[in-house]
Amino acid sequence: MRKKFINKYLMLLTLLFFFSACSLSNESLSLDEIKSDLNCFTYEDGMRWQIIKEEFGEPDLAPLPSGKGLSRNTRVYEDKVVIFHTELNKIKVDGKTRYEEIISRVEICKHK
Amino acid sequence: MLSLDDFLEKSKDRAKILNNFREKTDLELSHKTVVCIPDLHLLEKGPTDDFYEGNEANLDRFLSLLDFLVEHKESLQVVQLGDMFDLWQARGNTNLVYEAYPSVLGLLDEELGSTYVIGNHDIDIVEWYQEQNITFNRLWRYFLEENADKQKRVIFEHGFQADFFNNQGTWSGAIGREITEIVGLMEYVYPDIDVVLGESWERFKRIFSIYNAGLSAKKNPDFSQHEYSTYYIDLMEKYNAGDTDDIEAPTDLVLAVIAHTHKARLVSRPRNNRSYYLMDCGSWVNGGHEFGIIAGNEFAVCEWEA
Repeated sequence: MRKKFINKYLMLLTLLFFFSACSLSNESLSLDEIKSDLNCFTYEDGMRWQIIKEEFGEPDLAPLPSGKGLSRNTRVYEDKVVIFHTELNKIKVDGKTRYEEIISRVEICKHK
Repeated sequence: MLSLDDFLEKSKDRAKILNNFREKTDLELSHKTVVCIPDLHLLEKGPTDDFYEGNEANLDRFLSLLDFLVEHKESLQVVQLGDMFDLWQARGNTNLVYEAYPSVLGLLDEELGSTYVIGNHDIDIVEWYQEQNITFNRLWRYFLEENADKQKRVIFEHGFQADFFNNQGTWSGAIGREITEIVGLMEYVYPDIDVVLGESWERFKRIFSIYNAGLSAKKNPDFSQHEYSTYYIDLMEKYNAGDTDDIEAPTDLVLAVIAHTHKARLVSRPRNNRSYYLMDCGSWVNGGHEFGIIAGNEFAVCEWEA
């Protein structure tokens, strides 16, 4: 009885391991690589990132950060091709120092 | 500098010594108070995020520690011991982790000016722009020499260097990474699979440990309370003897500070008329809330209560 249970457990674990292994693929690109096929122009800056996220939903691509620091990020919507550059902004919440992300620059792009 | 007792007192009982993991040496290690933050494994607050674990209280507890450190930042140095990010499971590298935790990362980066040691789960950071030598201020190892006689007495490493299946410089580490990434995906089906398999793996490894040989401390006089103690004592002796190509050698090391195992411990062992110490600072994943402190000639592993 116990042997049967262990066999079932091992089989389930093996199947789970196999299917998980099949879905492994996660390669990030740099912003320069993504923009190589686009024509872009700067739109505006200073808007809160969360407002854009509420409007557009989850971004489709998350490129590697720029070489200037991990807090300087960019996010891409594939259908509209809008690129938001973000950085951290210090704020006070109930007297405590907190940070939120703000948009420092927006790029609107078209495919070449 | 805040002494260890000052630190505990000012924390108003939120910082507590864990399991009597407190020691003292004859030598001054640091004239600054150094706070060592172990593995965080930050992700995007999704189902596989072992720091957040779907519970805002875990984030609040860590933020309350950071707020306390910011309050006393003039007399503190913060060293993050690696695996700050879990890039083996991240959906969008560090990018979307910044979106999920802007305050944690802002406080560590901007307010506390933390020193970062690289871990096996975030080693990609130094590999993205390797050709341009952009490392985002990540270090392979770090030496503390903030004491009166300017001697390097403390070495900080993540700890994966001592782990056969996680040393990212070897083939065995590459296999370990692939397996861990697959287990990470399995977490979408069963969130605690990493904990269950991790415990099984530890039990399996213990049987074959050449130091412990499956015996308890009573039965085996050479029983080691930490599987990496021999590795790090060897490393410290090597550095002290100047027997490395590293420009940091020779040193006067007595203490190695690591994380990686997610199991806080403080062990010591004498060798060649010197007591060597290994401080494993635990983690902030799966409910862990530990950190290390070094102040003067004292050091301890503590836990932080909200």
